[in-house]
Amino acid sequence: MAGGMAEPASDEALMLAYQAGQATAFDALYGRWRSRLFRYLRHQCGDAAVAEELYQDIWLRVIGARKNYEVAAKFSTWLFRIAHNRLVDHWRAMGRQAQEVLASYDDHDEDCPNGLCIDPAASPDQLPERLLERRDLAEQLVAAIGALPAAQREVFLLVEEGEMTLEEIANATGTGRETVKSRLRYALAKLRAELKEWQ
Amino acid sequence: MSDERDPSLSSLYCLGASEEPPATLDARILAAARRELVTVPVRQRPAWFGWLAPMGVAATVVLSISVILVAERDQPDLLPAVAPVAAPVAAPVAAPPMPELRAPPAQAERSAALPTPEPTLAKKRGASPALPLAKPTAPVSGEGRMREEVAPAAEQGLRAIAPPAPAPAGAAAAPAAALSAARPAAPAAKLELQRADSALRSPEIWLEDIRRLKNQGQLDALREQLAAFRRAYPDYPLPVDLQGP
Repeated sequence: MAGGMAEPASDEALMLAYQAGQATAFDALYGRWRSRLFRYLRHQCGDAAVAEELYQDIWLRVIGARKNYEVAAKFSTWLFRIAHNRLVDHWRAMGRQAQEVLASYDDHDEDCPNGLCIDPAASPDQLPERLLERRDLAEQLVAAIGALPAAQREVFLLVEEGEMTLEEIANATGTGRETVKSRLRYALAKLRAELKEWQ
Repeated sequence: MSDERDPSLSSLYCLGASEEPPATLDARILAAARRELVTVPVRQRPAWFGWLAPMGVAATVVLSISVILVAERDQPDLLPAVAPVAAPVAAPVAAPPMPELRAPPAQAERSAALPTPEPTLAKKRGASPALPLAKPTAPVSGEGRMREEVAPAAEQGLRAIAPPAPAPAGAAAAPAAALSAARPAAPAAKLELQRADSALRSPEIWLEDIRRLKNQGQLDALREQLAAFRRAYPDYPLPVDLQGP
């Protein structure tokens, strides 16, 4: 990054450098996480305009927290915790429309909602080996992600976009590790099942 | 990264998820970040800043203790000068004096009530507090002799009254009995019994007693007391009503 800062500087070091007054440190940090955070919000909201609004608000919160920032966790965990809380606030503000979304955060993952349950023991080996149109399949995957219950979708997105462990996701979302693990397992199973139908 | 991650789904997801935030949004956020640095610079506190409050409290405590210690160290120099003055002033005039402290309070009382004659008195009689006791009780007449006998009894009676210093009952009983047998309980004798110790009286009180003798028509006692007063306080101006024969 600019300003003589070493390239492998951690996210936390960049945030501390920004706290100390280095604007370029924030530029580097923002460049690392802008796409990931935006995709997380875009898939969680479904609405691009709302996603952009939330995206800006979340980054402004990061900027506003600069003065009191302390390294208590990974920056990604902190960032996506802010994003998670902002999303929940957004859904609550939506009122009755969000009830279904918020209900998915209740621990009913064992119930296999939406009829998407498949055998959890199904392995990736059961996925089709021949994918002629990977891009089409990828688009279908994105659509299937959008059809997931919000809680399961969030866990999947945090794994993919946030590159977070189960513990970090549990920390960011305020849920137990086993709950996160269960949500991820069901999300993956549903996505595999969706993709299987396109085989 | 989570072990539960599915590599094939991840690769497909990366292929399909290509959304990016708009450039205008990027510019807005980066501008806000730079604006934050301009408007709210974080003050880097030095390491000792956190100790400022505890050090302030400690310095206050040390300063307070030092002041107390210095005051205590200086107090022995102040006490001898203060104590003799403070103690008699605090003592009520009408209260029965402690037997052991009778002479010094009387002296202090006199000096407080009559500042002018005191230096003369001190010059003529020295610093001895017992000297004024002897002069007014000098036998001039028969009544004066009786008064000489009464004075020790009065002293003993005052000692018996004073609560903090228990006087020997046996020693006080004999003179008191002798006194009651010797005198016929005359008012003048009673008055003298109360004012027997002239050293305890201020000039004003003494003159008041003398005036009372005059009013009672006890001319002998009046002359005797006036003479004793003049000997004790030669420079004290007599009131007009007592200057006559």
